[in-house]
Amino acid sequence: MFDLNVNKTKKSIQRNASNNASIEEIKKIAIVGNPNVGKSVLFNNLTNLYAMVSNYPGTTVEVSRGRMKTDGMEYEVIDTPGMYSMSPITEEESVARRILIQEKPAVVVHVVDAKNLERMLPLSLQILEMDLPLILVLNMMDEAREEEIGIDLTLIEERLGIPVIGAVSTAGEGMEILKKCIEEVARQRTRRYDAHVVYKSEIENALKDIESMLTGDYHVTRRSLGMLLLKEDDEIRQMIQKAEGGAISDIDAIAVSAAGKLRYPVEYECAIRLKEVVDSVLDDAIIDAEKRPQGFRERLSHYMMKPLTGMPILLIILYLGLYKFVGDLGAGTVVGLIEEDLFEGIVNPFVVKAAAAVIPWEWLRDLLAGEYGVITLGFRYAVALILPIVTFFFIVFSIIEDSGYLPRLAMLIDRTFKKIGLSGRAVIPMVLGFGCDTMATMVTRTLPTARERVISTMLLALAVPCSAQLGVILALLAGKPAVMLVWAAVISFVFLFIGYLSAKILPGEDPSFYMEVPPLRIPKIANVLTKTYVRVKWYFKEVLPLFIIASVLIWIGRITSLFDFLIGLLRKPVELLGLPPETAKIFLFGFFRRDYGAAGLYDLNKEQALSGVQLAVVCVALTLFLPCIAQFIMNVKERGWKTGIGISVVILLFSFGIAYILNFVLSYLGAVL
Amino acid sequence: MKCSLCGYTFNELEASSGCASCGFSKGCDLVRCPNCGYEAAPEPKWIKRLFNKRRNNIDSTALESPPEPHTRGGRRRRWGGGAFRSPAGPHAAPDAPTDGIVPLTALALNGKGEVVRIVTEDRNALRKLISIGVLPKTEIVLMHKYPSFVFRIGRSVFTIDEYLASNIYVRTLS
Repeated sequence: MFDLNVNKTKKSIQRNASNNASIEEIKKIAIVGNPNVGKSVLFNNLTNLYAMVSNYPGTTVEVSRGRMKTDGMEYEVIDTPGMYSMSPITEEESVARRILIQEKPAVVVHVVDAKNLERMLPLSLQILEMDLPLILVLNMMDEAREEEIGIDLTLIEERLGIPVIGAVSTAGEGMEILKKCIEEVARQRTRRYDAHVVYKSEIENALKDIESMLTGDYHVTRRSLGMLLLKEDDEIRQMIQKAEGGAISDIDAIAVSAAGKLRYPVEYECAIRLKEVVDSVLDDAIIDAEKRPQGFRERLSHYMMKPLTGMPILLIILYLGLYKFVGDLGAGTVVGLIEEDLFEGIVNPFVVKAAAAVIPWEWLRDLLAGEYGVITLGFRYAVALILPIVTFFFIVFSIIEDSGYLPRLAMLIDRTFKKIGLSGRAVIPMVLGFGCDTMATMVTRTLPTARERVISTMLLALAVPCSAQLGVILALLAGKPAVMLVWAAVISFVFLFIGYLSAKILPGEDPSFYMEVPPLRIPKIANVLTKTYVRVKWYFKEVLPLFIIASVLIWIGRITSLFDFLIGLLRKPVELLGLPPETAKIFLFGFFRRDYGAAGLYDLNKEQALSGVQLAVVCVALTLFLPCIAQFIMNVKERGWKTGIGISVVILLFSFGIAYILNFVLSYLGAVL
Repeated sequence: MKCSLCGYTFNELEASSGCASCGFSKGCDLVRCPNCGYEAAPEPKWIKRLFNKRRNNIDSTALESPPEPHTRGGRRRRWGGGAFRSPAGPHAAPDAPTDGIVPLTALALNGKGEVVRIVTEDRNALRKLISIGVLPKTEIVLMHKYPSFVFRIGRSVFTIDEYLASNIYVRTLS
């Protein structure tokens, strides 16, 4: 009895303690650094598996947060998006900076590539100017050793006055030391970085003036904010204006007068000075044998970026990855196995039989196991047709993504993309669009200008078929190369033509293109599988309910005869396209999802073979057809009801229009495909 | 190309500034001479091909005179003729270099160069280049010129388009 009481007391004390901890606010650790330096791997090493990925408030940038436990403390670890400097260019960079400036991290872990210290240390100096408690992690030490770069960590540590740790995050090297170091720095902030970089006197004087005018309560030094104000940083200016009110006009005046005294823009002057300081920090601390790898990877990378060899390599990747792997193996063999053998052979007959035996009401039987039943149609389409194709696509995409091929493709395609108002950077959402257009539409938000975002969103909605659609179309057209050629030519033409037109019509500057080209790497199987799993899960979660809702809607349509009415309505335009009247059903399916329509087409072609011309026409119409419900909802959400519906109507008319013209031309020429 | 009015030789990408504010800048194909502001039709491609090699050779020894700082879409201004020059005040873009210094676009393939300056009035372009570490005294090795520019800084490789590349001035190293 007594023991029990003691236990209770202990428990309640513990509960109180944990409550207090949450009231006290858990200490935050921010991991920052350039893209491609291994921040996420380091984040995974520090935290447990259950990371929360969520959009940063007010933005679409994803930030992962996880918990790290040490002996007595628990911390929140934040994996920030990649940033190059404190003056952000992309939305991701400004989110990373916002985390540093506003979230009051107890420790900032700056991860740098040990092979590229010279280029990455200026950011460390900028973080130190903010007086944030910093730990510098030199990651990829193994690669540095391989390339015979000797780094004197102690000397750098001494010169910077902060802990410097060598690490290989992929192998877990240095992680224990890092954890201990984080704990030490978080517990007692003994070190203060007071030896800030001294800039030109014009800048220093302006900084002093601005510092004296800032009276608000900020988490970072006034000096660092002053520096950003001198660099005419809009976001910081707004923040200061909120806090300081009228003083901002005086600060603006100081910034203008300082800029007038300087020969070059402030950011240029400062960058040059920071580089000088970094050079002096690294002087004698790095011994570089200047040994650069010259192996197969470097040669392959070279050939990938040369148009003469790069284009054939791209075609080989498309042929093997998309056509052979996704089309042949995924949409052909695997779908055949699951769809025909498993569902049509075993699952569907069983469901129909069971429904007939158990359910006395015909309407319910029809809903679950009828021709358009939730299980016999909706579930079957989602699981047997779409799931395998999408999974196969995401496997290919993750391999391509992890190998580092995408920036090389971006480099190859930038010139062409400029003609349609996009930069090479847009190649990533475009390629992802071949997987899922809705997901890709979300990714377009990483593009730097609104103009690029609008153009790419439109092209994704109109002319980029998603993997489910593509898989079904590839499977349908597998034995008919002429039809495939016509289909591909028409879609490419529409893509380029509409892109060209929108680039001409939409106001705004042409985009400029810059991108880091990481070394080619052999993708890690575990990474590829995890990424595929996460993406397929996201996709399936979105798709399955929609397929089931579509089945229910069709069922409602049928019992109220609305379905027949709509099919009757569509019959005329479908006949105009030279297609059999049964295809009207496919277009109605297509209203729910493009891939749902494509799946219907797959079924129809099994029952009744279409001619080559008919196949080409119907595939073109379906590819250009309205985007799926999810994408439609996103359009409406972003652009309002009027524009959202407007876009859909335009796309609907456009897809039928192009299909009509194609049918007319092919019939006129008497083409037999 | 060569200006038909004043005879100044310049790269079309470097053509003068101020077009961004011009309402007619869209679809305007005229090229504005950075020296005198005269507008002319761009040089036909075959002439470019014919003379390019020779010009590059000349350019690499010395630019005839310092080019103006570049502005995005710089060759599109149609109205307001006369010499349009950016204010030569202290806040003008990083000034243009002269002797033995060429824009990155003119550096030979696989050639090595040391960055001397970034010449641009486009603040965003400047920030982009700074963010990837293109700064004076940095060594650059040019790896590809077409379809985009690819260069190595230290052990990192970057790709940029012709517009950004034309803003970087380098001193050729052996």
